[in-house]
Amino acid sequence: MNTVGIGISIPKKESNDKVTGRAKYNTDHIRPELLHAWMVTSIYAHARIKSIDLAKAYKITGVRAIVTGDSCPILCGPAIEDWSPLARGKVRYFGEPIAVVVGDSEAIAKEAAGLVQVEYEPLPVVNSPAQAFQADSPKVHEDLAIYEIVQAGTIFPQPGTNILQHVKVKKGDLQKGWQESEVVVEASYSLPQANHIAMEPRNARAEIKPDGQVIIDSSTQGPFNIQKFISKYFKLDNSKVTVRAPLVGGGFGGKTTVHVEFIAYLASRAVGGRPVKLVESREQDMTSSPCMLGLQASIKLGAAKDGTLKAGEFTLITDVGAYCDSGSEMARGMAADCSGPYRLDNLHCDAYSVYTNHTFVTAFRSFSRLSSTFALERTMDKLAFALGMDPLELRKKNALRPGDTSPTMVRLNKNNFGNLEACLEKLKTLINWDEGVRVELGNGKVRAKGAACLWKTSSSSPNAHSSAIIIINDDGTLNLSVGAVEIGPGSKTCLAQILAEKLRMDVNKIHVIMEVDTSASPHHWKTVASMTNYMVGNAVLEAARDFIRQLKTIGGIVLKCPAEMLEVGSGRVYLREDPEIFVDIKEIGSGYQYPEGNAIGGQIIGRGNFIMPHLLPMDPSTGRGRLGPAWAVGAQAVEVEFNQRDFSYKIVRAATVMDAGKVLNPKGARGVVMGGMSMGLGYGSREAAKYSTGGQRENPQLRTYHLLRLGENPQYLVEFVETPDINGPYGMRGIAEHGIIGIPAALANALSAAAQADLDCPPLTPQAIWQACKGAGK
Amino acid sequence: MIPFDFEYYRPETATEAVTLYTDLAGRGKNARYFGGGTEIISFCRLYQLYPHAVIDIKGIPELNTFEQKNGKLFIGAAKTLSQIQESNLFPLLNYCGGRVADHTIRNKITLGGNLCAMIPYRETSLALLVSEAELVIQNRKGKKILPISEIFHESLRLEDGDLLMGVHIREECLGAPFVCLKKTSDGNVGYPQDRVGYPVVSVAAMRADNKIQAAFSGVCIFPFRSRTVEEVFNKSNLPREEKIRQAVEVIPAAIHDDMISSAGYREFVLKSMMAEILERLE
Ligand SMILES: Cc1cc2nc3c(=O)[nH]c(=O)nc-3n(C[C@H](O)[C@H](O)[C@H](O)COP(=O)(O)OP(=O)(O)OC[C@H]3O[C@@H](n4cnc5c(N)ncnc54)[C@H](O)[C@@H]3O)c2cc1C
Repeated sequence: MNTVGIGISIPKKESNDKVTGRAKYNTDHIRPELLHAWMVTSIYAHARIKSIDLAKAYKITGVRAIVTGDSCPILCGPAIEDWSPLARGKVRYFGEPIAVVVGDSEAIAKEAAGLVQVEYEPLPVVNSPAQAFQADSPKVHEDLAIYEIVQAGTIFPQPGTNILQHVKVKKGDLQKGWQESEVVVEASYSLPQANHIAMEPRNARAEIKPDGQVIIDSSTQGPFNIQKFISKYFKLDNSKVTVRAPLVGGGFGGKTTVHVEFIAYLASRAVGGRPVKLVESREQDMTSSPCMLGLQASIKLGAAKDGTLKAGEFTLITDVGAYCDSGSEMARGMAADCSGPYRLDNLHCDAYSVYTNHTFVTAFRSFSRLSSTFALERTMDKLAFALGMDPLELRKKNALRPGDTSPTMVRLNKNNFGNLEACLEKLKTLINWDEGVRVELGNGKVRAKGAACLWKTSSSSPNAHSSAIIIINDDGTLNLSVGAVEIGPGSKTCLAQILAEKLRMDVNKIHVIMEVDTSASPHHWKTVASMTNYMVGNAVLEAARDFIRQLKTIGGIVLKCPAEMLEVGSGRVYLREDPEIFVDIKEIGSGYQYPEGNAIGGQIIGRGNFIMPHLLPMDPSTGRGRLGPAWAVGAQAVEVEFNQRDFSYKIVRAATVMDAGKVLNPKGARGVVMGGMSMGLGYGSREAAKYSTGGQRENPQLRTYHLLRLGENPQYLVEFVETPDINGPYGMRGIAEHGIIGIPAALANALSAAAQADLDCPPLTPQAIWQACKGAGK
Repeated sequence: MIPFDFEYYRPETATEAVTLYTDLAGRGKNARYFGGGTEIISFCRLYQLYPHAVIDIKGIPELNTFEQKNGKLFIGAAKTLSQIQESNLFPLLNYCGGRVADHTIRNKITLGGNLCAMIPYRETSLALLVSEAELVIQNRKGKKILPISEIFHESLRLEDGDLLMGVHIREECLGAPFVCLKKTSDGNVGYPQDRVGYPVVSVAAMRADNKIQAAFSGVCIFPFRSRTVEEVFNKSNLPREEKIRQAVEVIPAAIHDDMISSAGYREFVLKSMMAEILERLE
């Protein structure tokens, strides 16, 4: 098997450890002096905290400390400072941490937590984005006017309301667009909040050393982010905080936020800095820590009779729950990509984030695009129906091409956009589209297909950066150190492949350091946004160039020629004109010793970095700006077998064709895309955070919150188109999130065709389809 | 993580178990028989149950037997749902029990635990209700054998300290023609099980003595077998549509409306399942 470079399916470097159970996750580390924490969480969605009585809890032997919000009067947040790690004054969602108990064992902490008596005065609840919008609605935050805005120019709260963010995107001449429209469709959609359900719930360990050094071990996607926020809010020098992240048992965006780390830190501070471990139960992970946003959307599209899109109006209201976190950013991302990958020269989009008394939200695979894509792609199908046009044809007709502009006026080229038409063509064959969207099978059964396109760019901070370090070992193998966390998709293996390709060497001779330690690892912004291979990969290439340059310099001395005459490959530095004249890199990597015994040089260390150029914040009134470097585009389809008698269905096949730029690890890439598809099918078909009329979470357990299970998976068809992005390592594009984006929409399109009813509000359970058909008189 | 301490006992005979129960009660200790423990553990973890002691009954040989004798099959209450399925002695019970939870959990859940559960579905009861099983119950005073219809009303009406030893099923019921259907909020559950979840509706129906006997779970807040529903099913000369209409009217309580299903959808599912029962068993 070829083990050099990219384009080959190298097993993930951590696979053997994982399949044998040897891999160590954050909670696997135990130490004798470790204390344990348990959170006391709110049983109301909105209530004033009248009193907290700790007396009974302190009676439990082995309780070391109990911390409440009053002992840490700080407000924090990445975009706006609206959040206190432990609630103060009032609680704003069911599950909100109120106190944390530290004890000798988890059982002690948990028992005592159960004895903390909180007296509440319930307040009226904001239970939906629509309600949040009403003028007379209760206010989730009375103090919105005085909260500190961290990212000025990116967030526009409206004090006195529940509106936290309003993003406007305006392009072209909408009036003219409507005049040119011969067919207009309009529809509304409602999508629930949902959970990430990483296998490893969120957890952290904190310790404050006698010299004041703070050490946080966390299951996180953003160790450098934790370092930044802990130091900021607890007024410590950045270097006084060390954050370590081992292998992470799934993140899906849920581990980008800094949440349990604050609480673990407060817990440790309360016991004189002893190490404290805080692990959320599944229920806490589902209610206390942030979840996926909800969306209420209205979309109006106009087109000429031939299907050419002329005008679009979008109102996107996101339910970000009780605190902002990255909710305001997601509204921006949604607005910036609102048209989908379609040419729409006249459009208006108003995207809002509103506070509700629901669990607050953070990034969730696709950073909100899966929700807005659902609304848009359902509308596209309605438009196709109104036009009497094939849905895939309509999409192809309007597909963006190089030379077009995005809603925020970024000019597209084949590098930053890729080739959507090629994806659609390939998808058509892959799913056998031409056999028909809807086929009656007899017996009350129907087979139907639905499609959706996807695109997404990242929302990176304009100064997001990454670095990489390569060190050579005595045996000629290399250690690659980067700041990206391994959260499952095999990025570290891909990065090793990028390095192996550049050095033309066996990827098995490249060791990637799995753990990230902010005091030793080079920096990486956050392991998010499908940007790891792109950003860190570029840093690795830069480091490889540096490394090669050094090898050639010393190689030239040994081989007695100018460095320009040399090449590096297969672990050697050799003469370009005659590879048989060479020196092994292990002979020169740690200094070269002449036959006479004297030596020159020293250990070779390659270093590289990368910062994303040309990012520009969006203009507040028009949205003009550039959030991310490039889009990845794709087309997806789902095929269902629907039973018209009982409204049940089976998902038969699901297909994705993605423009990956360049596929670095084919099997790895298919796995990542398939994982996204599977998550999308789960969300589309059954996942939803359910709240009672009082805003209490009704299904915070896997007993009642169902995921797609093994055995329910359809046949997955995954193919790639490769239109290189000149800025990506070897032309690659970030696709790690994207498999999820169009799938709920494609499922809904298939089921709507099958049931001949508009299915606009996931999850599409048989009951939801029954309800919609009944509503439509069927 | 169970946040409190409790005592754990593992007696070797039923007499020991029931005596222990009484002794503990005498000392003011609230005890629970412990079968698979899945409910006890998961409820304790969430502070929904606080026993002072648990009496693990899996070590009692009698509760761990299958026996076919005198025209009856005996299944011990500590047999797990997986063991029952593997034994393949009573196909209808395989279906009812084999769609509870998932395979891994069925390796733990016991027949007794499912019948005595607080989680209200108690789907194995459906097979036992339609086959008119007898329950063997032991307490400090001795052993009694009761037809299920006498003691299962919505739930198993055991008295404090009663230990369910097992069930007897008449052999003629074991191979009787049956229909067993289950639907969760995600869709139909096949057999072998291909979908996991609590029932929107779960039904077991059997044809015995030329009559249809049917029991339901999920429909109301408790499982039931209703003679009045069966009377409607077994009327001659009534069109199926009409039978279904009448049967839905006489079910013993309001159709349940909850997070898993609205009452309206439950009714729809119930009716379609009734149609299938009639179609296949009439
Ligand atoms: C993930 C999951 C999914 C589930 N899905 C379903 C489902 O689809 N359908 C369904 O019907 N149920 C379902 N259940 C519920 C499950 O069947 C019950 O919780 C059942 O009680 C578990 O059995 P056990 O043997 O583990 O009980 P245990 O936890 O051991 O005991 C449960 C109760 O029964 C009592 N008990 C146990 N054995 C005896 C005995 N021999 N005599 C007297 N009392 C006894 C105990 O004291 C206790 O009160 C599910 C449970 C789980 C965990």
